[in-house]
Amino acid sequence: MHTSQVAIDRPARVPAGWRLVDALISIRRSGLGRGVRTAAPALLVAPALALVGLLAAGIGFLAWASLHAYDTFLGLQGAFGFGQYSAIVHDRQFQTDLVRTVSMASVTAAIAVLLAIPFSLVMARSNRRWTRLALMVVIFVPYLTGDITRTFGWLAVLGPRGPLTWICERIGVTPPDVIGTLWAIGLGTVQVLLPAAVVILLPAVLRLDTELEHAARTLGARPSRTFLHVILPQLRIASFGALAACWALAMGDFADPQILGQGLKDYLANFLQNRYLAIGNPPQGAATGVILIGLVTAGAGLILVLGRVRLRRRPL
Amino acid sequence: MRGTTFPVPRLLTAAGVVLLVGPTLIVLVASVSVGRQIVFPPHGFTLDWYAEIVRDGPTWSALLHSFHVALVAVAVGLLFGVPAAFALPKIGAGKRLVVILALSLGLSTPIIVSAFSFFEIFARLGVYQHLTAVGAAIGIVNLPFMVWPILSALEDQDPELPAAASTLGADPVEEFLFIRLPLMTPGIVTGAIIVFVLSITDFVLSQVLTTSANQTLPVFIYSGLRTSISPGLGAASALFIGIATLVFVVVLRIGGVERFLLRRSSS
Repeated sequence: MHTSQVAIDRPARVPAGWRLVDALISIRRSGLGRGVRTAAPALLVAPALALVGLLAAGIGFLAWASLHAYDTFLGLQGAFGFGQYSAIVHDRQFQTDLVRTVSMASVTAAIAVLLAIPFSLVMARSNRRWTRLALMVVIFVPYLTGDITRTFGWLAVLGPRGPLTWICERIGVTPPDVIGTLWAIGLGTVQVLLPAAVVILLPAVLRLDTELEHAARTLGARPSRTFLHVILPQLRIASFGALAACWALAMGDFADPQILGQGLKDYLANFLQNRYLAIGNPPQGAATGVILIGLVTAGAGLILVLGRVRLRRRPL
Repeated sequence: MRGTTFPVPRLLTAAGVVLLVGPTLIVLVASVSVGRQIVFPPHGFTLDWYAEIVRDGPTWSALLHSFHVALVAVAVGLLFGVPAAFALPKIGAGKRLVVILALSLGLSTPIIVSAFSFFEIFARLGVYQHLTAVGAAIGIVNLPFMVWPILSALEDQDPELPAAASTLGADPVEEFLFIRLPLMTPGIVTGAIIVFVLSITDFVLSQVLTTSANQTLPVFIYSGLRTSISPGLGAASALFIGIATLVFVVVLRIGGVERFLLRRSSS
């Protein structure tokens, strides 16, 4: 390895790369270098924080716009006030979409977590490496292929000449018209939530104390009982964590209602965009955004707290 | 412990697998079938729809726009995310949590709200509807995916290595350049690849921030979906499946994902 002592006696022809290294070393040893060294972590993090600050500023502008009256005809910002919020809270469309979003988010998040628990158990405990790998690949498919490919797939599966119709015709049932209903949206939503839930649950599943399961079985517990009374309680905090994350994700879902619901069953996210662009009342869209952030934060926080509270009351 | 004996978890897992990949497989099959409409069971085999992507002007330019956006997002991640990830372990635990939470702002905010926040700020900065700005927005939202793989690569490093290097006479500069940086590279590459894929497939941000003149491929497919579900659009979507698969193989080869997901915290 090079040190500067060696560098003094170095022959005249030194590769440019090493000259650069030596230059960096001398900078580090100078007073300037010492100053930089102490400030380095802050200096390295600051640009990233400044960049995210751009988004924070955007959210700030959004909140600011939501606190002003707006002239849709002239496109001018009016007086300061909470008028947008009171208008929106009394808006029929908003109320319907709010109820739909909250109830669908709750149902889909619960289903996703209920599916994710056995999924992560099987994934973590399979003794075949290929099963584990395959399940892992499968988890990332919906994320890496993106919203469009995902929902396009559902349109093809559920659509008028797709596999669903084909199966129904074989059995002799009238094919249901699923696209544009909550069923289609629900399927699409659970598909994106499941991977998130599995990724959050996995560490807890890997930490499970298998001695306890052995003990339960030795004492004669059936597998279902072992699952309910030994495995599940150990996964409680992680399950609530997964539930909170899934709920937050589902609350902000835009692509599924937009594409699979075809604008017939809007969520708050779609309502927001419609107000912003189609109906041309940006401040009401902005107000919806602020309400959405508040709801997501409060709801996810509440779910996390519930997970902890129950654990403290009944320590395992 | 090996193997759960009751079949219920396996059945549910199978259901999960169908839910996760079933529609994607249908897209793949549909993209190589003959006919102007997607029909099940599929008939015929053709690669025409893929050739169409290159031949069809609007599809091709939408694909190029997507690449533009994704490359900008990766550049944002490399320029801003990598230094931050490298500095994070050197910051005190309390401050570190705050910084990590701040960097994850784009992930914790509902994506549609982020989209319109960028809409507001870009309009004020005069860069609204520029593809590079769209790429930057996507890069900011996906910044955590750049930072996490690097943090986990740093966590995996042998803490004795810096000491060993300096015992052998390495200057801290050399130790960084020749020891820590090479060990971080898999994390950086993984992060860059994940950000690239998430950005090239982005839909929600792009559909707010682009216009019909510079729309990206997902937005282009979306406008097509409103009229018909054709195999042509299927091929364009299948392209994303191809990209995702390729990337996944690379990431898996570089390693880390399996170890990261299935690591056991206690022995």
